[in-house]
Amino acid sequence: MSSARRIVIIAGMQGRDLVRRYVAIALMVVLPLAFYFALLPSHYALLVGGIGLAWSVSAVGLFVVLASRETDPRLVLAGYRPWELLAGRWLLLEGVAAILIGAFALLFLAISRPTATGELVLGVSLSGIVAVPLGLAIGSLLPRELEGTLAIIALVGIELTLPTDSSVAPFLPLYGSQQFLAVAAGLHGVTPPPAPVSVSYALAYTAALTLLATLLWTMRVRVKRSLHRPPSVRP
Amino acid sequence: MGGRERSDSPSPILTATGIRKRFGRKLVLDNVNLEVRPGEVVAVVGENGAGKSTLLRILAGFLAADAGEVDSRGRVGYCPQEPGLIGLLNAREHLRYFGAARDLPPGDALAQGHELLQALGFPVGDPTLVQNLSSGNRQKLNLVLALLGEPEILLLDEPYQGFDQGTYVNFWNHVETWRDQGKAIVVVTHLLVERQRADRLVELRIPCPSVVGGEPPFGAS
Repeated sequence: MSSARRIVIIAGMQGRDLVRRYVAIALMVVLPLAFYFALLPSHYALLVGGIGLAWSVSAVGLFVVLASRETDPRLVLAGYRPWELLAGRWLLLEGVAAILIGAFALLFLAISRPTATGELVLGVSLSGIVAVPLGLAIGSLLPRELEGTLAIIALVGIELTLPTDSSVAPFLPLYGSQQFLAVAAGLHGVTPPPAPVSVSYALAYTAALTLLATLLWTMRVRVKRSLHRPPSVRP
Repeated sequence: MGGRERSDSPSPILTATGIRKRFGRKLVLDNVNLEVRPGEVVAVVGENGAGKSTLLRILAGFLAADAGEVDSRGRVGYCPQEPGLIGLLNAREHLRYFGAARDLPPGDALAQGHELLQALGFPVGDPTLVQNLSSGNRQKLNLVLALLGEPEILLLDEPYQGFDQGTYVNFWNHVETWRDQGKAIVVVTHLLVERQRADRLVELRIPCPSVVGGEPPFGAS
């Protein structure tokens, strides 16, 4: 069976597991909505709603990893390669993110009617795209619910409270999307970085987080070969 | 480690040499040696905390030993004590998921899995999610997932927990069938009566000075 087929099967099974978590799915949609509507009619709602979307997607990524942490070593022992399991989850999460990105971008455009529509769509899209490997990386690094959730709250919470022109902002994963959302919300007090720079930041964070998630994940679920020769049988 | 050595016995398919494992300051396994051949059932016994499950986890590759070497020359099917299942998937979905890992097309995975489940008395076709199954039925699925794809080595960590009496007896009959098919089987067990169904007995002791193994079977043929 090809890796592509196995990845689709993994994504499908993870998807079935996810869609049966009705409360989690409802919260995934409600959380960014609550952020957004709480701040309307201020255009600041666009920034908070866009970052809230990243919060939801990364939290789903975290829980997709954590929900199967008991099963994953068995699946690897049975024959899946660790990267195939991760790729299957990545595929599922990108699908979920794409649906949320489309729905929220349309909603924000319809209600807030920002003049910078391109920046809004880019900001929301990059939020969702970066959030997938962010959740996977945190789930691979901190394989416990509480620690992982706190890490996401800390990272995204700082992102929400920091001024967009803060010198710390570029060191946070959602910096690129934050810049576009700030432009869409008309919040920039200073000149924002050129669009290609913000896109590059987002793509670089996506690549780095994907690499980090892959490394951590592979270390955690690989079959551990015990090959240390004991002193008595050393040549 | 010794054992029943026969001139016609095949070479070991699973060998563990000098296994040592420590959790913090607690030494759990020290210089444990084990050999299992195709067509052999080895029962691992010992008190609670003697390291039986830890040894199986090391043999399966779920845990790295601090020292020692594991050499397995076949595909491993591992049935953990605590079923590592996905609560929101049903049995059929588990068979497809694990079957794909073994490179089994969905139809073959289902056919093979259903046959095994039926033999253990699992209600085949039941769409109940795993989280709503009885502990006995969860354990049956747990065991069948280890058997899927015909692995040559079976590592079974008290796989009968939650089984009713009939299924329990049936399980040991299946163990004999799997042995006759040439599988190498390591079973963690507590009960004396089960030891008679094994070809060899390996006893782990606290504080685990070393393994004591190679005892002749209690009445095994």
